[in-house]
Amino acid sequence: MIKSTRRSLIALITIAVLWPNQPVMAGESPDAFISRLATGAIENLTSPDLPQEERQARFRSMLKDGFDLENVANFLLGPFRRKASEAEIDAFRLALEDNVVATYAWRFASYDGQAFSVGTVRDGSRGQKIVSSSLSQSDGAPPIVIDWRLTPHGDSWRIFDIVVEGLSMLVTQRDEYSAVIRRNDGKVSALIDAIKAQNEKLSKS
Amino acid sequence: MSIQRFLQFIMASVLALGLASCATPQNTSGGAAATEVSDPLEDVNRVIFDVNLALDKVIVRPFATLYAELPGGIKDSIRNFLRNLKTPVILANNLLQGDIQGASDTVGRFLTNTIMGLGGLFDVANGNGKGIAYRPEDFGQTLGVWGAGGGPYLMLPILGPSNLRDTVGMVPDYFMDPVTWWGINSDRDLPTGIAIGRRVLETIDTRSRNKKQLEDLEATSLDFYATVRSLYHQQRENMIRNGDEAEGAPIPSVNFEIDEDDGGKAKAALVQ
Repeated sequence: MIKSTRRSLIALITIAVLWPNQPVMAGESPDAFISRLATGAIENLTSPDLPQEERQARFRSMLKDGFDLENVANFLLGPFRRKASEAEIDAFRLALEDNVVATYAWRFASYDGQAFSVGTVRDGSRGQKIVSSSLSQSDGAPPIVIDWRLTPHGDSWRIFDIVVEGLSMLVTQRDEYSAVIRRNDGKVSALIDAIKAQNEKLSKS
Repeated sequence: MSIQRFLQFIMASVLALGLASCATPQNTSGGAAATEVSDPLEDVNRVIFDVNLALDKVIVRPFATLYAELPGGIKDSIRNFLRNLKTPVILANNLLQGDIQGASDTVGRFLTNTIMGLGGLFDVANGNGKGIAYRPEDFGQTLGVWGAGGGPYLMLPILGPSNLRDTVGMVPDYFMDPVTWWGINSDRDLPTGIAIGRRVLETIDTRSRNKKQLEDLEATSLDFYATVRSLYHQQRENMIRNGDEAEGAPIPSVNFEIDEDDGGKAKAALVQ
């Protein structure tokens, strides 16, 4: 009895020693990643005196580091991606990046100390992780629930989708873009032109 | 049917949902529908949408802007009171969905808010967002729980975004409402006035609360119609699941395959 226990113990230790180390999935946990990004955004983007260009430049660099722009762009184009040329796909990515910067960078100026808290992490499909979080509102309304869908990237993560109160920004954007493409005889170039025109408009306002 | 009855029916159902309802935030989380919305009547829907937007700008928005000037506490009490009045319809749908927990929450909220919240003016049951939150149910959601899909997307005149399922659902909801029966059994104008006033106030309250978000959304949309359609669909799916997790947007994986038309060059293709 004792012998067999000891034997199995030795076997166990041997296995434990010889077993190849579990690959470290990510150096940074998904919730730590979101916390880091939020802290960075609050530190670098929210000062009201920041000139517009500087805020946009900082936001753009955060976007490039923190967002899975390649997969996002692929998802947004959906089935139309196959019909687009490489040049069009590149142009789309650039226009999209400009559009995100033009649409969202200035919003950080109105940040007013609302508390942002990171909640639980759960598994999504295909190695994705979903980090839940909430943002308190200044007018006493219930906090906004935000889910971050992350894709693994090296030893950290990249944001793939932001789900606000159950509404996916990615799905909404894809539905909108595919409507534009469809109404222009399936031409991705028409979407790129429309995004560029809107970027122009947003930069003036 | 007297003109009064007719008007009552039209107004009550027509104002049940405003354009603003598409942007009502729900306290839910989870994924989103990965499929696109079926919209065979898109051309007609787009025309109605434009008319609705024009009507919104001339009629609803000016009132919503005025309403926004009221102190926050008064606006909250108006909303709490209107929500409390919806209890019978919500409770009936809780039960039709077999949602006993939901039904007990609805009853609990009603009793707490009616007694301690001075007739529903204060949402005591949800005190500071930590109690039982308001969760509306309607027959469209009930049909969804029973397994009905949304069917074709519909843009209703004045009412705003809907689909076949949710439009059909408005009829049972109308008849589940005690005010409807009070109106049918009364010769006075009071119930009609209450029914109409309630819907008008609801529309203005919701529109006023979502004013900024809606304007923002319109300004940053390439195709506002498509954006509203997508959001309406996602929001309804969410409400039907009561915010439970759904399998959300799948991550597109890029796989490499040989494309014969491309001179055998490996080409990345999107798999969703």
